[in-house]
Amino acid sequence: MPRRVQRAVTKLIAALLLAGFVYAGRATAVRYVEIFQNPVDARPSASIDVHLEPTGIDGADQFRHEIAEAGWTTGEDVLVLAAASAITRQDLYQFYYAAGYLMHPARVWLAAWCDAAATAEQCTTLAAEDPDVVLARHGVRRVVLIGPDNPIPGSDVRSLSHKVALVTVR
Amino acid sequence: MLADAAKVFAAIATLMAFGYGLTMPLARDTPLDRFERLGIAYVLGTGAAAVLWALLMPLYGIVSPLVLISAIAWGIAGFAIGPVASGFSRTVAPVGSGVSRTRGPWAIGLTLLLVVELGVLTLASLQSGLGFDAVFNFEVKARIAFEHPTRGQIPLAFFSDESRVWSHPRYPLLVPFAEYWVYGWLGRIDQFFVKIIFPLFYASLVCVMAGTIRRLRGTVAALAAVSAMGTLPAITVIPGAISGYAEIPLAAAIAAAVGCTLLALSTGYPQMFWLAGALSAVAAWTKVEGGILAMCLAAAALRVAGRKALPLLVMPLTIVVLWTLFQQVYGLPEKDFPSLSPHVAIANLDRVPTIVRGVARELVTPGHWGLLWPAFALLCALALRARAWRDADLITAAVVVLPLCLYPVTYLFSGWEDVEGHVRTSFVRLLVPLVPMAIVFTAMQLWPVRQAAAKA
Repeated sequence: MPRRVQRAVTKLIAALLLAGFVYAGRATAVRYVEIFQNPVDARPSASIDVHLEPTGIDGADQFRHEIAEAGWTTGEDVLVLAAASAITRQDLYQFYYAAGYLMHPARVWLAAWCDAAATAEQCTTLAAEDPDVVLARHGVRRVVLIGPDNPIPGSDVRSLSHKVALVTVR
Repeated sequence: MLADAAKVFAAIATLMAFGYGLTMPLARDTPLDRFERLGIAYVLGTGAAAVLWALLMPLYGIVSPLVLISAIAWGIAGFAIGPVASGFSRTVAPVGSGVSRTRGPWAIGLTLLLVVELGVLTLASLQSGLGFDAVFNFEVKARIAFEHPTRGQIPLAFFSDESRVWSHPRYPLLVPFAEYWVYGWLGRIDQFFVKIIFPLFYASLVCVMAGTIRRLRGTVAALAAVSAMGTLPAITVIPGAISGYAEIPLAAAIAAAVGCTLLALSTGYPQMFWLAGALSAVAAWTKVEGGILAMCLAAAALRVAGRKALPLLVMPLTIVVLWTLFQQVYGLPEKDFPSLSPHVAIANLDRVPTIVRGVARELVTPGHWGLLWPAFALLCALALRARAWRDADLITAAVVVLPLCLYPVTYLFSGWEDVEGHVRTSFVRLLVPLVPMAIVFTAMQLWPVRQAAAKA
């Protein structure tokens, strides 16, 4: 390729690059503005608290406090059991991961059940099962229940929020 | 707040001292700039401490990891200070005759832009939370280590805990270590103070990139390149520097390794291959892809330099082999890639159009990368056509092109049913550590040496 043409092509690429960086820079600036307009509190648990918000729990400290008050031992397995109508798949997994994060070393499992208010699509989306089958499979006595109804007979219930309760099977 | 800031400063200073003590005996009498040595010190110090942290875990029932690792760090720093103190303040004249090191108006303006970028990035990091994966893949391990009765130890049971397979227990542990380190010095878990780690990795990345380009093409080219990198949202925001993900630490490690490799090739200093190898090992301890990048760099360096470049192969491979063995014994099978059998890839060939579409779409997303990838591809093509490949061109291009060819193939082995979703959520992160070298290569093609020499 003649040198003149090569220089022209190089200049064209440089110009395109510059345009691209300006475009990307604008996108970066927009993201920064969003961050500065809605800053996260400088709290020690700020990053985990946001994942508990969809279930109405104030934060990690409240969650752990309630777990301790319920007398749940740290080593015992726990099941997060969600009513299919009560929570979206994304919010459920956020909460499930947060529960697993906060309740270590207890193993935390996840399941959903098809409550009366749930549609067939909601039940399918969350792979809802019979609560008795799930409880038997995991062999747990401690259940973090999401939703207004309690499908577990013979259990003690301790409310965490309008959506979440700690259920201990007697 | 001030007391906490002082503790965090002490934690970071210990890692820097460690890295400085490891770097200086190898970097004495080399043309590494002072700011470059600082960048390397942070990356190497954190990486070496992270490796030690893992290897010494059985001892934490007897001695605190903070005491043990700090003692080693300051001991090595102290050992290195005396004989090589003058080496830090003495910078050998840069290699590359005629390369401009001007302090003209462009350099001053770009420096100011860079300072603003770094300042804004740091503030944004402190005012935003850790990203989703940052919390659940990395910081969770730091928390577990901090809260474990034997402080600093991740229990072996964690690695085989099926209920926490979502936390990817197979991931290497550099970022969790760095976060645990801050928690250990603070005496508590604090998701605000821990954020400072990540702008420091970004600053290290800027330093090592700028040093490399400055040696090759001069000050203005270096400042322009690193300032341009600071405009890319995928580099700065998410999954970039402020998000708490591991991509920027990996980018810093591999960029430093490449920079040291190029210096080894141009100066003939064999100790730089060892420093490059150590930084490659840090990359392998940062993310699984770090091992892949390290092998790509080793392949290119061995091709160019022969057996002198063996440390670039042996050091990261040691990390990869040890971690793989550990996972085989104590870990769970990899969920995302359950089998690497060729039969799986052949059975999944119908995924190729979906993978190609997803990859291509990401590469031309200007809101993530500007037009970097199309420009990189064009410049590679032009360089191939001109057959004007120097060692530096080959090395930097290899660390970008080889992974870019490998990564799409891995999706043929993906255990995800929704492979399009797998590509969409993961490929952007795979590209982040490739960006610095793509920018270095691009700068080298667009800024010929003789132009810089003419301006000197």
